Amino acid sequence: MLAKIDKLDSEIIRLLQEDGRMSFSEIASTLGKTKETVAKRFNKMTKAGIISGSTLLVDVAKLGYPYRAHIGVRAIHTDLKNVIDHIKRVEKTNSIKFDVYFTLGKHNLYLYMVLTDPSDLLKAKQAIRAHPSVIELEADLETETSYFPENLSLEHIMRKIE
Amino acid sequence: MIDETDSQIVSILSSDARVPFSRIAKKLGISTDTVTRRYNRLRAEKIILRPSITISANKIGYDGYAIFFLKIASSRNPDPQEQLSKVKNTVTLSKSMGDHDLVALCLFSTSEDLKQLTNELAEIPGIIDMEVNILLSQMQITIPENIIQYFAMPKRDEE
Repeated sequence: MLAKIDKLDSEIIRLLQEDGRMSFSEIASTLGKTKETVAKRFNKMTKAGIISGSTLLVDVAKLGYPYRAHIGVRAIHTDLKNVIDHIKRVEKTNSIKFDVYFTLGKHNLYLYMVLTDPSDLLKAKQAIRAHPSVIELEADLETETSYFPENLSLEHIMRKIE
Repeated sequence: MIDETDSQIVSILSSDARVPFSRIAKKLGISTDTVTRRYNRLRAEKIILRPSITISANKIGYDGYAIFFLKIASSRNPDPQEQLSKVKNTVTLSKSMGDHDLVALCLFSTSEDLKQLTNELAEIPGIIDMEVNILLSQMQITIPENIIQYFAMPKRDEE
């Protein structure tokens, strides 16, 4: 089910994407609405799951993780749960940060990771491969990345809905 | 450089950026002023780029991401990268070292959208091999902290 958002909702989202700590009263005065209206809209969008939470956008490189890598894992499907547990243990023991996703396609798990040192990728590869249910693993270390944030902008998404 | 207290503040705000500073202060056993001062410093040093709300892509029309792993002909000139970057659904594009040459992350909304996207990529000259993984938003295992940072990267003028 697609949730419906209108112009006011999208303006609230836009302000909160730019500054996630903005108070309801600040948003209200910026948009010329009442604080209650803003709160109502915010709660409605949170309840609908459109707004899933809030976070800090940080410079991961400055936090000690200047490298990014991708790993695709093909593992025995009936044993995926154990493989995921294994990957989480690898994360803990090697001070690497992973995001783990189920995927459909060549791999059944996809890992996006940030690293302190490129050699950590090799360590992670070896450690993950050690699990008997891991069949194949492919890894790529990013050397240069371009971002197209405009493709994620709300205008783009709203156009899509219409 | 950041110390243990800074990293605790970052960690708390990463899971909920709207937590009042007074509550963080209480939790860490320091004063609200200290939290405010440290937060402002982290922002000034651009370690914290900004707090932001997170949006569920699947609730507003995107069913997921397609991750394309591409190999390009080494002799190819000009690079197909420029054309790739014009594919409208591309969110990030990375040159990489390893089993592939390029990794592209693209959003899609419907299976028709995905088909079009795949065709569009396949037509770019210089691409000799393409593999795709479909990542459905409902299939997320861990909280996507890093991925969000990755997709919602600083705007170019902030870099």
